[in-house]
Amino acid sequence: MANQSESDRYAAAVQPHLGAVLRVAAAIVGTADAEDAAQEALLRGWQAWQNLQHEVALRAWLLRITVNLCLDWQRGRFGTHHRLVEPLDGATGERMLATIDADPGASLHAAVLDLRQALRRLDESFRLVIALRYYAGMDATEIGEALGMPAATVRTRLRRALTLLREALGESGATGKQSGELEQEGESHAHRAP
Amino acid sequence: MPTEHPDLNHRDDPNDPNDPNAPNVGELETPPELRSLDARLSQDGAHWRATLPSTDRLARRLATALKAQNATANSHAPDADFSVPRVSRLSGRPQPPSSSSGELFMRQQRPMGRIFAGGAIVVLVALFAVVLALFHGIPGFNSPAGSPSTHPTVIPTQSTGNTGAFKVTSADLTVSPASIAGKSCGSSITFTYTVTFHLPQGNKGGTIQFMYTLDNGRSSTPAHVNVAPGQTMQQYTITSSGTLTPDHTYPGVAEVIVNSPNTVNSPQVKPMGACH
Repeated sequence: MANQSESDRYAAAVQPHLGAVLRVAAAIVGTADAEDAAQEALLRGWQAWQNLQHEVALRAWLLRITVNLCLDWQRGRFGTHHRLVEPLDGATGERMLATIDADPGASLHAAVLDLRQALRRLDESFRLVIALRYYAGMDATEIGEALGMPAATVRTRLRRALTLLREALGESGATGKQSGELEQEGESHAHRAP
Repeated sequence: MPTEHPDLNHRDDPNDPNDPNAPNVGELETPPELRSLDARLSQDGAHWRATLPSTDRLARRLATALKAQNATANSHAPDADFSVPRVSRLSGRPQPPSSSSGELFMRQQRPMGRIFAGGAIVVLVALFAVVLALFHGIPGFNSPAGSPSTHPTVIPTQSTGNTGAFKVTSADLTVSPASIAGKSCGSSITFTYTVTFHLPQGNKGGTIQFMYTLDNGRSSTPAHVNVAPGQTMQQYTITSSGTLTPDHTYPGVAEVIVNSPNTVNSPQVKPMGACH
């Protein structure tokens, strides 16, 4: 019974943070696997719940667990499960945020698709801070706590990522104003996306 | 166009340059050449987040998973309610029944745990044997016949007759209703499983530790029941409520495995017939 009440307490404590955990998981492993990864992260949190000394740090602690688990998930450390969802082309570098491309609402906008395509070409460290910042909706402090680095480092990396992304978009010639002429290309990306 | 994140508890949102709580505001200012890209990403991120599923289902999944873990961890768990379908932690989909009865109870036990448990039992038995041997070495503790048997019935001072070995000789398992033939798939039903433990006459009583599965070993629940000295039969009732599934995965195969004081398996039972 004591264990039951403790798990109830844990469930109540994490309730306000479920959205953040789900967003982080979705941003890293994709929306299709997001709930599975989020649940796994929350269960890991429960297993280590006794080790959490200050509940005020619960959100950062949970997000760190989620980020670490999802990165492991993306890197194929979940064995059978990952092999089942791995794209046939084995394009490891394109796995992160791959499912963002499948967003049907955005698939009509070539500029958005081109933005995401450029994002997928960034190095993982840059792609990760962009994903956590703009898609998971975390601020630099939270990202820093989750990744184990100072917030200032996150901001620097984020600025560098934005610069690289802007260059990538500039090389492809895609801007928001040019979306009309890229409509066809964008739709072809949408069909290729898993 | 800057996009707000009303539910994200942002402390230094670069899209909100007027946030007075943002630390090191000067450092967070987005360079002019990146503002357009920043706005595009913020807009796209907000749109993408709006497509994410609600957290209600995640909360339910977490509650179910925690409940399952508690049921496994708590040896004093009450009768299990199987009305909530078991969900795979990885796939989120109901798991198919195991095809091999040899997998019974194997999934939720860790090999190291089994090894340690086995070792602990061996140590306890050895200690018990040493204590008995010491007692037999003391005058007055030897039986009149001088038998090396540790059976307490040879001790003349024990007259109650309830000092025999405490062991489970067999375990029966029945299910009611015994058949689901003719019932409609999708209909709700409650099954009552009755476990009957048989013990030898004159046993000294104790606690029977056992595990039971109702879904062919996909999940198992520990339980225990107390037996009074001399009691030769003890029953334990398990109820399971659920919906008859068209794929005939519910109800599954049920079985009881006694872990202590000795290992005994009940027969595997499953209601006969199938829903239509």
